[in-house]
Amino acid sequence: MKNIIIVSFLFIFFISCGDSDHPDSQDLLTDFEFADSLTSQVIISEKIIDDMIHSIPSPIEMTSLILESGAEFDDKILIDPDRVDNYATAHSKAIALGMFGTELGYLNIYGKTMISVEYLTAVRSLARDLRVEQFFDFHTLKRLADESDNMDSLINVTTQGFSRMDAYLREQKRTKASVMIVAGTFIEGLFIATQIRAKTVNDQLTERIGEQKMSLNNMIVMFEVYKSDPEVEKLVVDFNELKTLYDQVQIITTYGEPITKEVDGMLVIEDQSTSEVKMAEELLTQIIVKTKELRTKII
Amino acid sequence: MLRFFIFIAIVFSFITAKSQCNDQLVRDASSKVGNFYYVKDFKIKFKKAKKNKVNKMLHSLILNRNTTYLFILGDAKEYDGRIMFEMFGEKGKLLSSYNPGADKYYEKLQFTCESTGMYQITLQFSEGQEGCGIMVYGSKPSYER
Repeated sequence: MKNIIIVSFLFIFFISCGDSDHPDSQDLLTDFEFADSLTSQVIISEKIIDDMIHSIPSPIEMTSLILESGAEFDDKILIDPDRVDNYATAHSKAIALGMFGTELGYLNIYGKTMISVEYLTAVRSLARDLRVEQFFDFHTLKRLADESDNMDSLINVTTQGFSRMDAYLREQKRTKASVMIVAGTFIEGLFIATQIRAKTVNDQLTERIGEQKMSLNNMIVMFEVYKSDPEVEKLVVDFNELKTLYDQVQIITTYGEPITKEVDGMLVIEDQSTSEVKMAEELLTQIIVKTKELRTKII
Repeated sequence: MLRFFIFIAIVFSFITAKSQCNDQLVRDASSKVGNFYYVKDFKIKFKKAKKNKVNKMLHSLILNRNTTYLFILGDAKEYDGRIMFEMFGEKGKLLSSYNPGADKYYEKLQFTCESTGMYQITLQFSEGQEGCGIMVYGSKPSYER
């Protein structure tokens, strides 16, 4: 009896040690020599980086704005999902995962589920190579994609997968991988927005493109930590060229006291501050061109 | 043999309680996002704070003009700590999930953002109590087409 209890206890102990969010499978990022350096400089900076990663808007924020702005869907601007096999290094796979993730969000939000399955497959392939496949239940995602009345669930489950993957990578001290994924997310979101804006005048989209100045500045600060890596150094150079243009964008804020009220048990806060983006059309054109150049280099 | 099954039941109930603090909490809060797009979640788990100390999670978010954000809070009931969320803009505090005057905790907060910028958020537990909680937030564009 005593032995049964001991064996049972050990069995349960090992089960309870496993966390469904953090599978035990060895992360092959280390095989890719992609794990973060353990130098003290990086460890200190990671606290700041962690905060900055959170500050970068998720792809759903950009793609939902594109949809709500009334912009037409354009599949010609997307990366060919067959290119997924071209990404050989962990660095390029991580950036590509961010890019394909954004495109998947763009497709889903427009309800293009027929095409989105191909992008889901690309995300699966990259996630598998980076050993973060566990955050995407592909059977569920495929089922949701097949059910046209489940678009909101599909969008939310996909975004949650990316959010948890990001948290996992940072918990595992693989912040660099997380930064590269966020970089891919950022550049693809900006690319989609600028390409749509290049074809149609859209004030909301223009404003949102200008607002990316803050995220771009944060991206460059994050890259600086890892610029001893030659691939990251290249990104620093390219992103700085875009930053030179963005430095001319002005975001002017006028402050006001927020109004707070309770509605059906919910606290509702109406911001009375306002912001305005000032960006000349010529500058916008330069940003559109530079974003395309940068994105072409990455893919 | 009966004692053995009781023992197993106690251990399993402990495991279930643990999962309530993690996955179930996330699922419950995420399910309340409604017609907003889920953006991110922040989980916190703190031991009881030592005297004159505060256990607090701080983060920055870039929020965008013409966007409405919904913040959902949830905490595991097996702990005493109630989750408290605050957000600060450049000019100070914009919102708090706790109203000390009414001693009321809000689980849902909606913020209509009209000024793009960096906002600081904090998450902590009431009176520095031990707790496990989550803040999920969603967004939706709020401009007229």
